[in-house]
Amino acid sequence: MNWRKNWIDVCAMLAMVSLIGCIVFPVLCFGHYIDKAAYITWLDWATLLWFLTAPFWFTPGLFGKKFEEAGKLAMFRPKPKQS
Amino acid sequence: MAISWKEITAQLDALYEFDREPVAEDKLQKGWEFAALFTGEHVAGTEFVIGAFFVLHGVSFRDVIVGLLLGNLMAVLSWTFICAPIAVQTRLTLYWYLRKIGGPGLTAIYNIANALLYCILAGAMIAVSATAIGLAFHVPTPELSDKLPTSIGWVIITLVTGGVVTTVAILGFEKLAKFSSVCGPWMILIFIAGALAVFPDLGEYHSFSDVLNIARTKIWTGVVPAEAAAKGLGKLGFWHIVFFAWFCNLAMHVDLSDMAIFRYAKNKWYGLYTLFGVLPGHYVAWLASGVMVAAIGLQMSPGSMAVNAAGLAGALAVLLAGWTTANPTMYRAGLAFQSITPNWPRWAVTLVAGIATTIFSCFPFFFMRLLDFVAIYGLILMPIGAVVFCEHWFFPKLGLEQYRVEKQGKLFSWPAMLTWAVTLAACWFMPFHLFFRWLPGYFLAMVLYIVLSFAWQKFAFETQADARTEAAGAVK
Repeated sequence: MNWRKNWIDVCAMLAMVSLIGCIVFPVLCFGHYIDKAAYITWLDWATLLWFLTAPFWFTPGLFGKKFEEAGKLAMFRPKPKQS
Repeated sequence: MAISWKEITAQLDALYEFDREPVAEDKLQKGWEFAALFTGEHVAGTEFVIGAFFVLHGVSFRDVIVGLLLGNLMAVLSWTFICAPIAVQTRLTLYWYLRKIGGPGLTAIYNIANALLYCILAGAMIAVSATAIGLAFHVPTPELSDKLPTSIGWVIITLVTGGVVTTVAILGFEKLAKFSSVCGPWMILIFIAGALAVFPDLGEYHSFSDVLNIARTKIWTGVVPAEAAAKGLGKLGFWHIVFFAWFCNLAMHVDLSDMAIFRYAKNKWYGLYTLFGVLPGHYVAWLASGVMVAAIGLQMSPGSMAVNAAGLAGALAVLLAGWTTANPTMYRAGLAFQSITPNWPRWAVTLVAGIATTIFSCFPFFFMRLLDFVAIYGLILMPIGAVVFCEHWFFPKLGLEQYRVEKQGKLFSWPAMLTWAVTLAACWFMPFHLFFRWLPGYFLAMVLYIVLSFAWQKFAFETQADARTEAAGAVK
């Protein structure tokens, strides 16, 4: 089993979750459902999650040739052109 | 040792050799690839400054909402109907197309001017990043009216930031360029998040009309704040906003730099994909930074704005927005400088560009006068865009010979050189606001280039004809 491909898929899903967090918490703050301090804490966590996971999703090649190859098979990545 | 023009142009040609050939059919890119590219490209550190400046210049709510929409639409149409069609027909970069039209000498001058402007722009981006770092060390951001460095602390922070950016650009430009694509989606959300989260600080609201009322009375009031007015900031109206949004990427669309991108497009309509860049970057982000600056009492400090609105994530956004956009800008500047430094290694040229950029970043003038600098940047390169546009579209219709400079193996096209110089001189004396000068300048450049080319081609024809007559007379 190609664990790198699965790793990229998991990272992609977590990165999407973090992006959702980046928009949901400020909306909650705007609607007075949470205060600004809580929003900032959640935003910082969402940011941390984004930068831990998104590089694997967006640029697997940064982590070596094997990750680059695995990236071609991963779910949420563009597929190479068919010639 | 003096370097000749021929050496400079030969060096430039060698640098750009890899994209000399027109793009082949099988290398054309898909639409979504263009959308992703533009989305990543147009959310930069300077967006924190530009949107905030609109508020400080007393722009009204209606003007900013409608003006930005119209200006951005004009920019997208400029990409679609000016830049993309020429790129799709020629499949060349501006460098190689300008070389056919203006000659290698003019192309070299254009590249060097572009490199200097890139360095100033990258310097402004580094200054934006430095405002975030300065917060951690209690170094105050310079005031709106400051032109020279204001404190030793500011100088040290900009020098260190510039030094780090330069070092990374030397060691791993490509890796950072890849990494910067990671920042794009997150960064635009930080802008939106910051604006939403600070809105409660601006007043109480219970309905959408309350929100609009806060926007009209606390953010885009239509009046220049007293403190900003005292420091020389004037009022900007609807047409200023329209023109700013239109020309802030003038170098890319009307000046045709983005031919490098659109030569991979299947047709000219791919220009519409720029909407994916300008909508988040030059609409949403500018509006968001306006809200953020209002929430900190109209203080022009991107670092303070972002930290107040989004905490550590905000500080990181300012830092990365400045850094990731300064990096490719510095790379492009280095590439252009390489033409006048034969046999210098890549790292040495990037170092020189980095030193120049870092020095510019120390001077708040460039960062605090960013709107004017963006206008001047587009204006300086604009006549070249007009020259290329005329030669491509009008010359065949007017019966003028295209690519005459290339056919004759000349170093410079004198009509193009004169058009550039005379247009800029005329723009300097135009009695309008700086933001409006490029458009009449563009038409002036087109008329000038056509008239001068007519004169040049006709004069050359008559001279040749006279020479032939004289030669025939001598034979008799």
